[in-house]
Amino acid sequence: MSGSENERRPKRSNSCDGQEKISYLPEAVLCHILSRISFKEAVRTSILGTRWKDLWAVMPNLEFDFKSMYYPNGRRSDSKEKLNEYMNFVERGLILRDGLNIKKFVLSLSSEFKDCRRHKIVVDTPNLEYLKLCDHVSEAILFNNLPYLVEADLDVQLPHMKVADSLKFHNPYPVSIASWMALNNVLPNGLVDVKNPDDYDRQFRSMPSEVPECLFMCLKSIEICKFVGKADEVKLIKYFLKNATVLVNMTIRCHCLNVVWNIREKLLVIQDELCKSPRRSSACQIKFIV
Amino acid sequence: MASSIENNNEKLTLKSSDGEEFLVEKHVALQSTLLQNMLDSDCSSADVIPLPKIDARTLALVLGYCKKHADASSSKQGELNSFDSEFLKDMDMGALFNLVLAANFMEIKGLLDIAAQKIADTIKDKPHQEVREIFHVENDYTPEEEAAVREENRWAFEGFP
Repeated sequence: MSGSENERRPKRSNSCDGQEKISYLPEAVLCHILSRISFKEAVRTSILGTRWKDLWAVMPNLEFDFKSMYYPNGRRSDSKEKLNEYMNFVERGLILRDGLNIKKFVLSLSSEFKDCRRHKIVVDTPNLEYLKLCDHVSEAILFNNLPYLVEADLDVQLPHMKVADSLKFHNPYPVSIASWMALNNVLPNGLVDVKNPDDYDRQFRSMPSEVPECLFMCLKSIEICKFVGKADEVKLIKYFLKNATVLVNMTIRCHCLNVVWNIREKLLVIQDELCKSPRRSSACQIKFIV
Repeated sequence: MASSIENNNEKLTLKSSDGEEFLVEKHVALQSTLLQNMLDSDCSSADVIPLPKIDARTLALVLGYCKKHADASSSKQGELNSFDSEFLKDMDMGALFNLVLAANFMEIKGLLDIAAQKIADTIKDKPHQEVREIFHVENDYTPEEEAAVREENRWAFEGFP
């Protein structure tokens, strides 16, 4: 990444010495090229030569997704070895760069990693536009600097988040807890640091009585996944509808097993109830997917 | 930007690395963020602007791209798209690399995007031996180092020779 290396250019076409040497392209251009192939393919270019070894780690998109990396065909048998290999890969990728040029960041650390090494996550990424985080194991997650974040898809238990234009809560079961925790931490004054899972419900019950303006002034789209119609979930959605001033889309995706669980009728009643519930933003559309 | 509309007929002169001069309409040059910034920061357009990194053949291509995009109205996106795909068709890799470098240097985002995409498409789905061959990448790993890289990134090579 030295300046002089960036200055080098392919020789003119009258040179027989490989005018097509892609390795002479500056790092920024190579990253631009790599960001147009899949993350997996980009990582695979590390085998080409030393110039390429760590190039994938400087790309604007970093996508660490355990399932799609190690089990692309869906079959799984989590071996300690694979979990470790993944953790090593993620750590190496994160060590190799700073957060400056990351635009898209995906990280999955679901509960199977609970016995792996202990860690905290600090996301300090001033240019991040898209964030997808599935994290059930980190001791703390701290978001410092996300001025350009457009979309966040969170499935987390201890997030500290600031502001986003669009939030998607992708809930694990039991549903309401993670979403509420995520929400609570988005609220500027609602930063909580809950270590004990028993505290979740208490947090949920103590909803803030004052509307945190800073969140509701900018939140345009909310998506709740795996909705099963629990009272907590309904309360959460009503809270959003009532307070979000510029909300345009409220999407509620019901849990795909709702027929099996015989809760479809109940969900339809709730749909009706939510549609009649007061909305602060007149532009807000509710999309309810059973 | 009001001034750029008033002075629509203004022209400026760009000089390639091999000394050839190109007279360019200002609105065409503005496709380049680099030139735009230069003009905004009171660089006199009467001066010749040297582009020491770009040879005449490449600069001619770049300016052809800029002219097409500057002249087309926004309603003709379809026409521009087909121009873009024709533009790079049958271009050899050497020319393409020169073009991507020029687009990067002159900060012409659209051109950088399509050139990078074309190179990316060439890399895609090919075994690394073939990529090395196409792009003349010298394998400067020792066999042990190569094996180590493969091991570190094993997931990415699964199902690949």
